[in-house]
Amino acid sequence: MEEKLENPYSLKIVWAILLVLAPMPLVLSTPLATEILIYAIFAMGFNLALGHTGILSFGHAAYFGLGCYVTGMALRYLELGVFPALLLGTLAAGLAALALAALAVKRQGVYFAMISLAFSQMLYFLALSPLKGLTGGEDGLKFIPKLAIEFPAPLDLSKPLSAYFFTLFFFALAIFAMRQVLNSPMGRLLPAIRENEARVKSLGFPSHALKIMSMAISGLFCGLAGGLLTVYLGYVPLSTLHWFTSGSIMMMTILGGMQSFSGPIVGVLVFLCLQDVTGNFTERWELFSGTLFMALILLFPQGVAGTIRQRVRRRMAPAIPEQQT
Amino acid sequence: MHILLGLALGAIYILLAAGLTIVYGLLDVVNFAHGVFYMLGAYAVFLVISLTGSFWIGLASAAIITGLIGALAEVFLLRPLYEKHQLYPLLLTFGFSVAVPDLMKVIFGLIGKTVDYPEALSGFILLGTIPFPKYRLFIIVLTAVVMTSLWLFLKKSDLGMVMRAATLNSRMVEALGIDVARIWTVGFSIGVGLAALGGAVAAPMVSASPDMGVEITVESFVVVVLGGLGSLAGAVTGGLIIGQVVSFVSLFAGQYSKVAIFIVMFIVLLVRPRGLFGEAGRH
Amino acid sequence: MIIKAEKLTKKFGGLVAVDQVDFTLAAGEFKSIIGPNGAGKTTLFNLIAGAEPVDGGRILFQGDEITNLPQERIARMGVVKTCQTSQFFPSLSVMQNLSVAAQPPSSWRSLWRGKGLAQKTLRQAKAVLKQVGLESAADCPAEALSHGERRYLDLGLALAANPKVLLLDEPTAGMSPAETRQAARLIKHLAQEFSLSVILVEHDMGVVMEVSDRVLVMNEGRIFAEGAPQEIRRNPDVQRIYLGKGRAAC
Repeated sequence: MEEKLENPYSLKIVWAILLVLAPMPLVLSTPLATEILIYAIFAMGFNLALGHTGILSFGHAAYFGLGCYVTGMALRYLELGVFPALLLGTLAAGLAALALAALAVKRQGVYFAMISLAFSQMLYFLALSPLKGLTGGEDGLKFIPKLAIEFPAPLDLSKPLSAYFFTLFFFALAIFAMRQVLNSPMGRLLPAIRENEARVKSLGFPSHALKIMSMAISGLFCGLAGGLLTVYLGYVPLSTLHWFTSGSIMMMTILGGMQSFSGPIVGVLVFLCLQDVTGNFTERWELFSGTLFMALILLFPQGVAGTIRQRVRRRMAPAIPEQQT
Repeated sequence: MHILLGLALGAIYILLAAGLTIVYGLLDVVNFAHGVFYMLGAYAVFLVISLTGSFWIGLASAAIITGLIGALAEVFLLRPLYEKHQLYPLLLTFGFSVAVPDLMKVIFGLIGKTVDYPEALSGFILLGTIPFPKYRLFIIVLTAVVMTSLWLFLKKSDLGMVMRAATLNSRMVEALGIDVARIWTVGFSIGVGLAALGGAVAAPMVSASPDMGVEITVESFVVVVLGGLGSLAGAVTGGLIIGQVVSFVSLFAGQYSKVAIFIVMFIVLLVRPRGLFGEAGRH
Repeated sequence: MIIKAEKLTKKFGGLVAVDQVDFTLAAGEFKSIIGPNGAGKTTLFNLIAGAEPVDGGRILFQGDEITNLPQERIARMGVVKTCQTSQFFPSLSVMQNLSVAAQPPSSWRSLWRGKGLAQKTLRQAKAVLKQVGLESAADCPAEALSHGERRYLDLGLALAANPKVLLLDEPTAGMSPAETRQAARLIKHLAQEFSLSVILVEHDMGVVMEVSDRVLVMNEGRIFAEGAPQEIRRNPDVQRIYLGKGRAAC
């Protein structure tokens, strides 16, 4: 009995993803590559809740936007360094997700989706007008000082390539952390909750606490992604809090394939590249993307990554051992 | 005065929420495109008025035209997804709500289209000593009439009864030899037709613009969830409450009127998880 | 007494599903509950396991009160229940199913997989896999299992959770008489091997008589009779209410 308990997600996947994504600026424009990494962190975080734990949240823009704004405000008003500001943004988003999940954990399915949607819309409207003085309202949070870091190497983050590597560092951190979470004893219980929450309870695990933790960790990832967006853009657009952001990240995640590790990342990659390409010849990006969404849902019900994987699997191993009935 | 203004606002919410309730109850679809149909209703009324010059024909045909568009959308876009996870129809309606407003921008341009008040309803009417806009009063009356006839339709007509039965147990209805798919199409087009009527009625007050449906989608969700998913009485109550909340909060603290909607919903859901009229058995 | 319930009551609206039931289970005892459908057997299980709130009375586990504790607390103490329909994690493999169940309850807090923990979990899961005879299906997704195999997986999940008391609600539902016999014998064997206390709901009277130490008859929410299998078999009242309803006897 010297075998090890098999890890659901191997290190190989993580390295493969990193190796494929790291040289993106050679092929794509650097800002696009940076955005892909940021949204990939967001999608991974979102998918921890949706794909792995089975929590239907339609309000993840709240945590992403909170990460954006808190990081931005820390930079502008508190004049903190980049790292502490990012940390603050990440923690704020994690805490918000923890609080919302703790309040709403007993609500199932659509009700949870609605509560989370309402929460994110509440933040949106708060940022829009009552807190205009702090958030800049409709114009977004501007006038964030030029960013640079001294440690570990002096880096001027307003240059695209240095911003890219800065983001890549956090992306690598995030992806290793996500693997760690999913392979941990806690992480292994999350898919079980998705599959059959009652059974998890009857086996002696506190499913509510697990769901809250899943949401909180998910919030941390989204907050980090938001903070990185602030650092990269140098300002915070109000749209980060809008429910269309929640919908878009859900789209990307599901199109990529929600029950896999790489799925959300693939979804983001495909989606943002398409957005970039179409942006070159049409201004009506929303019309295009909305139609694309609908077409993909009708064509790829398993998600892009999921469908490809299924095709491959079918070809490689045609026969699943038949069970007698 | 503010109670009445809130009532007029609530009336539009009621139309939207009733439509959403029918769609959710019958098809189990959370329709993120509901606001799109509200917007389409406003454009339809604009178009028909500019063609025929009659507000009344515009109002009626807005609901009918949009209802037909809804039926087409249901048949070609939603129907293939019913067998799959509940998320897919939801995502599809989201895609719809991204694409269609943009399409409207292509067709009608970015600037909103104004719709004139019908002559008979412009101006004020004296309620006691207070002058009250006639048009708002009209909205309240219209909604009351529409909701009463909807209720009668569901309670008394054959089709209405089949629809209610299909809401409770669609397989059972299918086993009785009734074409459930048709019922779903009809239900969806009635649902979005109500949203369109809401948009058409609102058009003179806010003017038709491509993005007018974006926020109202989420607000009508709040109304529905507040009242309890799947309950028409809940939709009416929720609409009335939200109408009053918005009306009074904007009187005292205008900036907070939208925030207040969500705070009210939070409080109600924490106290009554299934909303005010939610049925215990559903989730 | 490992489990002791006093005056346990549960009402659903006007219907009293479980009516002032006194119930005990000795350590290591194998007790079966029989009775017509709607007699309150499943509800009694749900009350003991904490799956439904108790309306009246109390439940002691090893002398400690567990009435209305959350289900996961009760399960962690060692009272684990299975349902009439197989409850498992459909898209996870059989081995993954069992490893989830075999994780020590406190491990849910852990974001770090200690090596010792992983080893222990794996050993436990493998042992259970063997006990319920699903080794050949270890890597199949659970949803691909046949009905009978699913019942065994369900049982395996309960076993992997390190129970002291097993509450088995018709573990053989949907099995043929031969399969039922085989399954009941396996349960009996496992109970003896791990000195578990078992409460079993079962319809096949022959099987009940064979494996149980004591049999309890429920009817309309009350305990109607209790005794050793032979006594129950001979009890004319039991024959009237239970067997007389046309159920297949032994």
